[in-house]
Amino acid sequence: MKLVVCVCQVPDTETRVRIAASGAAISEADVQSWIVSPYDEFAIEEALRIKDAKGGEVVLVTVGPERAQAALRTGLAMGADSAIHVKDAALDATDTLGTARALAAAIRTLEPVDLVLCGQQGVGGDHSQIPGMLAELLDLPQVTVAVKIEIGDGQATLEREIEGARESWTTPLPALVSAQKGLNQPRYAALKGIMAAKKKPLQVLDAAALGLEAAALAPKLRVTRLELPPPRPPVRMIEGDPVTQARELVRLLHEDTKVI
Amino acid sequence: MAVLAVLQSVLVAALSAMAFGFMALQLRRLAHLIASGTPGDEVLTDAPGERASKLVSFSLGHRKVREDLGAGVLHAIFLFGFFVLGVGHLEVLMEGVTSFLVAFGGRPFMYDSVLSAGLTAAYHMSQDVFAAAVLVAAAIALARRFAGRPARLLPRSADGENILWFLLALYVTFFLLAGPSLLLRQRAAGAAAFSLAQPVTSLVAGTYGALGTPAVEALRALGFWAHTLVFLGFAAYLPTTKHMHLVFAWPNLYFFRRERYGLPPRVDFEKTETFGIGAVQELPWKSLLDSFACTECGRCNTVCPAHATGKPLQPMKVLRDIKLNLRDHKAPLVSEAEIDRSRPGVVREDGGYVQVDGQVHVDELWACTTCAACVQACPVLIDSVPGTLIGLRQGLVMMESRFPQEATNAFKGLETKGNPWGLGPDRRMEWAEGLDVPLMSEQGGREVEYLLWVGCAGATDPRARKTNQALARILKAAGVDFATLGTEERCTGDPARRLGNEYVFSQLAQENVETLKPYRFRKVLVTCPHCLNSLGKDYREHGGSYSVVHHSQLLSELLAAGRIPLDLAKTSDELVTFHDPCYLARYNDTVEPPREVLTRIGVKPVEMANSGKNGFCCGAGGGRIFLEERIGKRVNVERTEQALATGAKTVAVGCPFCMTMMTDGTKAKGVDEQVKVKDLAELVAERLRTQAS
Amino acid sequence: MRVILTFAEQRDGRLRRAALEAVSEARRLSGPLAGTVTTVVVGPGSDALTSELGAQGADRVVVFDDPAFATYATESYARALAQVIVQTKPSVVLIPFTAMGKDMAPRVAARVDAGLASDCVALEVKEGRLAGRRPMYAGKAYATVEWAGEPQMATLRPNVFPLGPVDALRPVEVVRGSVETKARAKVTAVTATAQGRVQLGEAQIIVSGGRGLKGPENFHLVESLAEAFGAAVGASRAVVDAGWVDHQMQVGQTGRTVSPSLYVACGISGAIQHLAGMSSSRYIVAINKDKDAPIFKVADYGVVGDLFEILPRLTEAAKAHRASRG
Repeated sequence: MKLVVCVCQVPDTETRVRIAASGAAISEADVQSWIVSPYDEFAIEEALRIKDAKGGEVVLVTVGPERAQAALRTGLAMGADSAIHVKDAALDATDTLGTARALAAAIRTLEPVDLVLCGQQGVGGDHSQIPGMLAELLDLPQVTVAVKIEIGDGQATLEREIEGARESWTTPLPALVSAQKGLNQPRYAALKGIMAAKKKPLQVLDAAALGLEAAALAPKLRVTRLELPPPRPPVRMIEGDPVTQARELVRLLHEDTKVI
Repeated sequence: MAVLAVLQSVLVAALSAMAFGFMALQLRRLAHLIASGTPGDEVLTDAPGERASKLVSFSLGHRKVREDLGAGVLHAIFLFGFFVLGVGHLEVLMEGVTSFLVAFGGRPFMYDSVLSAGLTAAYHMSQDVFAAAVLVAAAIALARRFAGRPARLLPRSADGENILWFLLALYVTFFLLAGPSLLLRQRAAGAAAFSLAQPVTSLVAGTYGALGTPAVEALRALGFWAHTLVFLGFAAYLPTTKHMHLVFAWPNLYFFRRERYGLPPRVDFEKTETFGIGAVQELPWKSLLDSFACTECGRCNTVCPAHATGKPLQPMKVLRDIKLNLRDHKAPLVSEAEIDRSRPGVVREDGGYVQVDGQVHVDELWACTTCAACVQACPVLIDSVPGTLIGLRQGLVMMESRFPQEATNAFKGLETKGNPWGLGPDRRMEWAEGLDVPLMSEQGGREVEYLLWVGCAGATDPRARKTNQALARILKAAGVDFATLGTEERCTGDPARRLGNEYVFSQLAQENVETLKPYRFRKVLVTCPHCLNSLGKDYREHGGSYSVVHHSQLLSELLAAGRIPLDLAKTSDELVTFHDPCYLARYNDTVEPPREVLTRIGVKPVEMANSGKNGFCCGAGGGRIFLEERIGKRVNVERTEQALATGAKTVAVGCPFCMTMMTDGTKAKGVDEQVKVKDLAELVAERLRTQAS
Repeated sequence: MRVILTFAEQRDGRLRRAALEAVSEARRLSGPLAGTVTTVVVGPGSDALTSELGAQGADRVVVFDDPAFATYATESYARALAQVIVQTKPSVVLIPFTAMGKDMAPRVAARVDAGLASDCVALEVKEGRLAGRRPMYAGKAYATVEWAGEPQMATLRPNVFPLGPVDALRPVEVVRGSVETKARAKVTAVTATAQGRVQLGEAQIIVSGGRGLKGPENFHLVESLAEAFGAAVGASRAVVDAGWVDHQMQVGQTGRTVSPSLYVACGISGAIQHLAGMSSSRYIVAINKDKDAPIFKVADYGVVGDLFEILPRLTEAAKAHRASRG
C-alpha cells in the first residue's frame, strides 16, 4: 500500500508566544523549539501501523521553510520511508488553500496513492482546513477526526466522534483521513531510527517544479493583527454557602468563559 | 612396600596434576570470559596505595562482613583458615609426591624435615586449631542453612551446601590423618598419645590408642588417601562453583571503581551505531569480574527496595545471570517474555520468575531505582548492578524503542522543553515571583559565590517550589551571595540518563555546559541530590567541572557560623525523622549535615531503622518517578511505614522526589493530616526571625 | 443586494443551537453590510424548520430535502452548499464550527476558491468588508483576519455568538434546492455515547475526581456532575491506584494528557504528577476543602468547601442551566 502523510511543523505548544514587530505574526526567532504538530504524529503512527500490518511504504510531505525539514526527519525516524519537502518563498505567505494546493501537487507526483493521512489540525494555525481542502483538490472521499481506522480490501471502515455520539463510516480507497487524538499512541523514535533517518530519501521541490502559479498561491485570508490574550488573572475564589457557590460558578462559566 | 610407595607417588602426582590442571584450565577459561568484556571507561590502575589499602581492609580486615558479627566471625575463620591450612595441604601433597623416597630408604618430605622442633610444634598447633575451628564453623554454617536460615540465603543454594559439606569432609578426614600421624609420632618418640600443641588431634589420637602400630599405620594411610582425595576433589570442584569468589574477590577489591559509581558504560554517539548493552560481552570486564567475585551471600537482596516490595528484581540474580549467560552464550541478556504473574508456578518463592535464568527480565530491570543500596551492602565492593541495568535500558530505549510507555511523556518533555513534566522554559522563574531573586545574567560577569540551580522539580512542582522559596528567603536573611540561571536552566538530564536515554542526557548536558560557560561562580548550590550528582559528577565527562553543594551542607555551615537569624521560640518538641536521599547519602557521602541542621534548629531527630548510608529508598530514583509501579507493594509506602514506626510527626527530606514520594506515602496510609513532610529548608525558614519577632 | 449566506445544521429534525447563532450573526451583519440573509438547510423534513429560521432572521431559506440527505455525507452536503454559493454569489458565508461544519466547510471553500477563517469568536464589518477574530497557537494568541475576494467564509465557534431577537411574523422566502446526492464516504451507523461517557481524549469539558472523595462509593458525585456538563470523567493517580476507577481515566504524567476548554478538579490537591497532565486546559476550576492546595495556584476559579455539599449542588445548577438553554 502507498500511504502519504501530510506533516506540519509548529512551534512547541509550551512555547510562550511572542508577537513579531509587524504585529501580525509570531516572532519566530523567539520560538525555542519546533515540533511536529501532535495530530500529525497520530497520522504518521497510523500510517506506520498500516504499513506494519499490510506492507507498503509511507511517504511524508510537508510545505514549509528550511526548518520544516526537521519535522520530516522526525517522521522518518519513526519509520517512514521517504519524504518530500515543498519549499518556496512564495509559499511562506500563503494561506491554507495555497498550502493545500502545494500539497496536492506534491501528492500527484506520487500517484497512485492508497491513503492520504493528515492530523485533524495543525496547532499553529489551528485551522482544521487542510484535510478537507486537500480531499477536494485531489477529489478523494474524506473522513475527518477519525479515532479508529481499519483497512480492508480497497476500502476502509472508520469511527469518528461528533457531539454526543460516535459515527461509523466506510469509504472506498483511495481516500483522505484526518487523525484525531485517541487514534493511537505515537511511537517514540529510538536513536537508532534517528540515525537511520539521516540516510532516507528526502526530495526538495519548489513551486515551479510542481507547476504552481503565483495566482493560485496568493492568500485569500490574511492575518492583519496578532495579539496576546490578557494575562491570566490569579484564581478567583468563589465565596458563600454551597448553593451560592454552585450557582455563581455556573454563572461565571457561562458568562465569562463561555464554555457551557 | 617400595612398589606401593612409588605407586603412591605416581598416583598423588597424577591426581594432583589432573585436579590442579583442571582447576587451571577452568581459571583460564573464566579469565577469558572476563576478558571478553570491553575495556570500560575508567582507569582502574591508579592510586595503588588506596587500592591496596581497601583490598586489605575489606578482605583481611573484614570491614563489611563483620557488620553482621556472627557471619564476620565465621568468615574470618574460613578466610584465615584457608591460608593457614593451605600450608598443611601443601605438606600432604608433597608427602604424597615424595613417597617414592621410601623405596630408596628415605622418608617422604614433611615440614619437620626442615623446621626446628619449636617451629614444627607451632605449625602443628596452627593446623590443629584452625582445622577444628573451620570444622565447627562449617558445621554451624551448614546447620544454619537448614534451621533458622537467614532470609538473604533464600533460595537454597546447592553450591553453597555442597561446599560446606566438602569442608566438613575435608577437615574430618584431616583429623583422620592427623590423629594417627600424631599417635605414630608420639609412639616413635616414646611419649604419651597427647600433645599440648595439638589438643584436638590428641582427642582423636586417643580414641585408637589401644590399636597396634600396624593398624594405626593402616589407618593413617587410609586417612591420608581420604584426605588427599577429598582435597583434590574439592580443588577440581571449586572452579565450577560460586566459590571462585576466593580467587576473584581479591582483584575485584583492588580494581574497585572510584569514578563511575553506578553508571553504565559511556556511549560515544559519534563512533557507534549500536547503543546500550545487548550481549553480555558488551559489558566492561570489571562488571564481568563482579559476577565471579560474588559468593551469593544475598546481602544485596535484603537491602534492595525493589526486592523488599515484591518486584522480581534481585541484584544477586543479575550477577548470576551474567555469569550463566557468559558461560552459555546462547540467549540475549534481556528477556521480554510475557509473564502472567497471576498464574501459579510462574513466580518463585523469592519473587523471581521461574522461566528466566541466565537472562534479566524487563520487569526486573525497570524496577531498579538505582539507589545503590546493593553497592553499599556488598562486602567485595561489587558495584555494577545499577550500571548494568541502566546499560540494558539503553539498548531497549535507544535501539528498540521498547520501554514503559508512560516514560514517553518525560522523554518528549526533556527533548523539546528541557523539562520532564513538560513545563516551558519561559516559566522557570514563576517560583521566584515576589522574592527578588538575583539572576546570573544581571550580575555583569562578576564571580558569584553560589549559583543556585533550581532544578526542574523546584521550577515546576508547586510543592518543591516552596523548598526553593524557603531557601531563597534563608539565603537573603543570611546575606549569602547567590544568583540563579532563571529561564536559561534546563533539566540536568538525570532522569533521561537513568532511564537509559543516554542520547537525550548528553544533549541536555552539552546544552547546560554551554549555558554555564560565560558565567563565573564558585559553587553551584542545589536542593536536589539528583542535580547534585549530575552536575557534580556526570557532567565531568561532558566538559563541565563544578563544585556542587547540597543545601543541607550549606545550611549546616551557615547555622554553625550563626549566620541565619533564628527565632528558636518557634521550635516545637515534636519528633522529626530525616529520610536520607540515596543520591545524597550514598552517591555523595553526605549523611551528617542534614542532621546537624535539625539539631541546630532545635528539633529532636529520631533515626529510622535503615538510615544514613543504609537508608531505604523512597522509590523515585532511576527515573522511576516517571513510571507506573504495577508489581508488588509500593516502595514509598514501605518507606513511609518505616518512618511512621519512629513515632515522628514530621518527616524531613532533602530532595523533591523524596518529598513527593513520602507525601504520597502519608496519604496512602491515611495519616497526611497528622504527619507532615517538609524539606530541611522549610524547617529552617519556619524558624527564621522575622521583623516582628 | 449583498447576500450573507449561512448553513443551518439540523439533526434529527431539530436545528442545532449553533445554526441559530449563525443566522443571528448574519442578521446582525446584514445591517452594516447592507445585505440580506439566506440560509441553506439540508435533510428531509427541513421544510418544517424554515419558519424558525425566518423568525431568527433569515430572509430566504434554501431547502434540500431529498431523502438521500437523511444521513450526513461530506460530499453531498458540501455539494449542496457549494451550489447555492455559485448561484447566489454571497459576500459572506457563515457556517457553525460544529463537527459537521468543521468537516464540510474546508471542502466547500476549496471548491469555490474562497478564503475560510475557522473557529471565529467575533466578526465585524470594516469598510464593507468582513474582519474576523480567531484563536491561534492553541489559544495562546488571537488573530484578526481579513479576506481577499468573495465569498468571505467563516466558521463560527458555538456558544459564543448571542441569539438575536426572534420575530415569528417575519416573512421568509422558501426555495427548493436539488443537487446530485452521490457520496463515496458514508455514515453507516451513529451510536449515541453512553450517558456521561464522553471520551477523555478530545473532550471539551472534563470533570476529575481525586482522593478528596474519600472512597469509591462517592465517585458517582463526579460522574453525575460530568453528565450534567456533558463532560468526560477523569481521575487522579491516587484514585486509580486505590482501584476506584480504571486506569483509562487517569489524567497525569503517567496517564492521559488532556487540554480541554474546561477542567474541573474535585478533591485533587494538584501534585505535579497530575498537573503535568492537565495544566494546558483553557480554564481550570478547583474544588477542594484545603485552601492551600497547590491546585489553586493554577486554577482560574476556586471553590473551597466540602465536596459532598458542593458537588450535588453544582450538578443541580449545571442541569438547570442546561435546561434553560434548550
